Amino acid sequence: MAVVLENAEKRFGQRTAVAGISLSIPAGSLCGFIGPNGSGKTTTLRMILRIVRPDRGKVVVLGADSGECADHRVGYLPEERGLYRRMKVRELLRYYAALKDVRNPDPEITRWLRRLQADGWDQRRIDGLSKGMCQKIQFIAAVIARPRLLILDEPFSGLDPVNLELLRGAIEELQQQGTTIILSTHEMETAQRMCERVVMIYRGRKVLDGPVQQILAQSGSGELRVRTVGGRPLPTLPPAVAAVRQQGQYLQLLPSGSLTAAEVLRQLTAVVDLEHFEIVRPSLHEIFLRLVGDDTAALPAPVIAESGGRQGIRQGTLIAAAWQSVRSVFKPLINTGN
Amino acid sequence: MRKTLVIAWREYRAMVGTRAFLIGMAVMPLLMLGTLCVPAVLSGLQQPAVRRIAVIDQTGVLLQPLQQAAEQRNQQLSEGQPELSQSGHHDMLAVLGMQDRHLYEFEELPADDFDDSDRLLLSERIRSGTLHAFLEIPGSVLRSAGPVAGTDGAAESLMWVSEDAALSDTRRWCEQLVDGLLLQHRLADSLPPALLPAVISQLSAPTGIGPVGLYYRDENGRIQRGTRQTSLTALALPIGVMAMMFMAILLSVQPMLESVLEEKTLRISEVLLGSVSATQLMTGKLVGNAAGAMTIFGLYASAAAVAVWMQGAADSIPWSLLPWLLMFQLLAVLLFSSVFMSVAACVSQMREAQCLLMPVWLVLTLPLLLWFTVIREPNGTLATVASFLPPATPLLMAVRMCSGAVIPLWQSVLSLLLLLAGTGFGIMTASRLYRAGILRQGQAPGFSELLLLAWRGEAGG
Repeated sequence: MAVVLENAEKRFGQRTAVAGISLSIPAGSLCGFIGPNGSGKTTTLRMILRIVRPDRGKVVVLGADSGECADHRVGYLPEERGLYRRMKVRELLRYYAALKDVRNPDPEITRWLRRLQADGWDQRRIDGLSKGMCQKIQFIAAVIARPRLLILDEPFSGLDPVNLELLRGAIEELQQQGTTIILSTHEMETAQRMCERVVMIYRGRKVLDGPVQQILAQSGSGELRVRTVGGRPLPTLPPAVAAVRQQGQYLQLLPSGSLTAAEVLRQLTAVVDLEHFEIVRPSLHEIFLRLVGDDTAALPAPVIAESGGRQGIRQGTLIAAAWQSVRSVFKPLINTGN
Repeated sequence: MRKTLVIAWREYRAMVGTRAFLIGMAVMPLLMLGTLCVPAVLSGLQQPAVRRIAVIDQTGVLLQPLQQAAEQRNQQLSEGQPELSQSGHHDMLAVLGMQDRHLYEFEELPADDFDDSDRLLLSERIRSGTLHAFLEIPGSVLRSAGPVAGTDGAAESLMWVSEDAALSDTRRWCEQLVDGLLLQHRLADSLPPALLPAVISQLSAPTGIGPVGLYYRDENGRIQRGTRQTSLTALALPIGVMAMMFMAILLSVQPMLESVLEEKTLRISEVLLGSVSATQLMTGKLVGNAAGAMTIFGLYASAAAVAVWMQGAADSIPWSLLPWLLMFQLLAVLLFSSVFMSVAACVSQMREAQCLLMPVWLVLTLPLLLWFTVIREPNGTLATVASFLPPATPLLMAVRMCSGAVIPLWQSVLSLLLLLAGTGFGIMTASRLYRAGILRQGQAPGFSELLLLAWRGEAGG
């Protein structure tokens, strides 16, 4: 494991920033940290970077559980900025490299400048660069020491689509070379697309942790989306369907009980011709909203989607949360006798 | 250690390698000189006005010598020569260019039947600005010392009436002159006329007491006389050294403030703390800043030394004080830089920093308020006690040591030890505040919260 947190807790005065988080990030993985502002993400990242120490629990990074600061094996790109405005690009990169104990960093600097299409920027001052250009320089500063663990906080902010793809490619390349990457982001689509696994933190607690595909699969509500030929309404409601809702040209169906999708399809085709049938899978964004959107006092219990994990599988909790969400949508229909 | 030096070197280069620094280096002495010389310059710019003084001389013999002395004085001032004191030396105010530069003119008034109605009329003239003062000299002063018994309506003793009577430089000048003239007349009553000119000449000749430094034994064991001092060197050295030290502090704490604020607001400190510990970062910054301050002090001191050498006055500089001055300067920079650094770490805007630093500025400028007293009485109670207070120690001890007075060794050592302890405590507290504040976001803490942060030394979230 590249990073292991065991019941890590951090308080600032009366406020609990991180309330006993435990997680493990396998070496070589690309792990997304997601959560709203003030949820404890940054404090968790700072504990991994050893910028702050946990009040309780343990933080093991690349096998080491002590040290006053992160060593040269850990690279960090903070959200926006992080660069001296009056320094020149190469001078700044040399400085950051020296602090990571890199001797003769010039070849690596040149290679990365070229890789990110930033050749010829060496002698330009940071305050003369655009936000996107600064983002690239920050990225180079984070990777200049060839870290084994790379922590990226919103690395794509301020980038145009071309440069975004360029940086995304560089990140994936680093991962292929064996670098463990933690990607903290608000953009769920990015996390869903790039990360193998995600950790969602809310109110200082971990509320979701596991491989992305597994989470998406387990978070399915069992809903089905169909379109009848000609957009005709269902003549009768088959027993397999508990509720139906019009959604544009589609009908969103809630199966009754624990019937399989195949059974619902069989009953539907018996009463109407279909031209579209799909099992609805929520996006990471929807799961995020489901878990934290309803800002109630009670915290959701952690949802762990990793089999064999230290805390085991709690699929029931996840499904219960999803079910509650779906019920709230269909409740009016159910109550009207459908 | 290597990382600390890397940070120190960047900090040093960022501090001394900027155009703003070079401009500051050049402008700061001009500002300091301007502050010191403003009274003199303004005094010089002011056209010397004629101060008309009415004299009611019942002796009948004092007015003419007063007029002659005034003419001579007016002549000297017109030629730009500073006024000499009675002993023939330029006094301190003259050296600072703050002496009275007005021209004096005496107006004779009849002494007969001079009474309160005349005094009221003259007072009205003073109020209207056509007269500066009037001086009333009773006839009996030629034979009696001190107050004399007055007759009806007559003054009981010499009387000076003006709007600024108590503090008037003109009154003091007349007083000294009249005292001398009265001495001559009283002697004339008791000496044969033939002897009078010679005796008066001998008695009134200035003694010319030369200011000489203390005797000492040289390396060959021979007794040597101390260097001859002048008011100019006795003032210029302590003021110059104090100004250089103050400028070095001023030019180093401001970049430190800006540097820490930049690192905090741009989240550079987070990147740095991902590579080095807070202690390494703070130490590196302090070392770099101190090196910059010592460079400033060195440059100013070198320029001053060249100027002194070109004036042929190199012998009058007590070079043995240099190690002391360097130590005081270094500790002062470390103390104030650490305070500025910690405050900058706890706020997010320059405005908030300036607000919290207000008391620090007051402490920093305290020696500038006290230097005049300290320089006149370097071993006085005020000077001694104030120089034991660590924030004021460097500048005040520099002034005391450079004033030419013998400062007991125990006082120098004790003040250095107290400053060392104060600086150590300051850095330790600043270190806790820095670690607690550098990652802190949001509203700036108040004084009470700063104290709590310093006590707990807890990192902010």
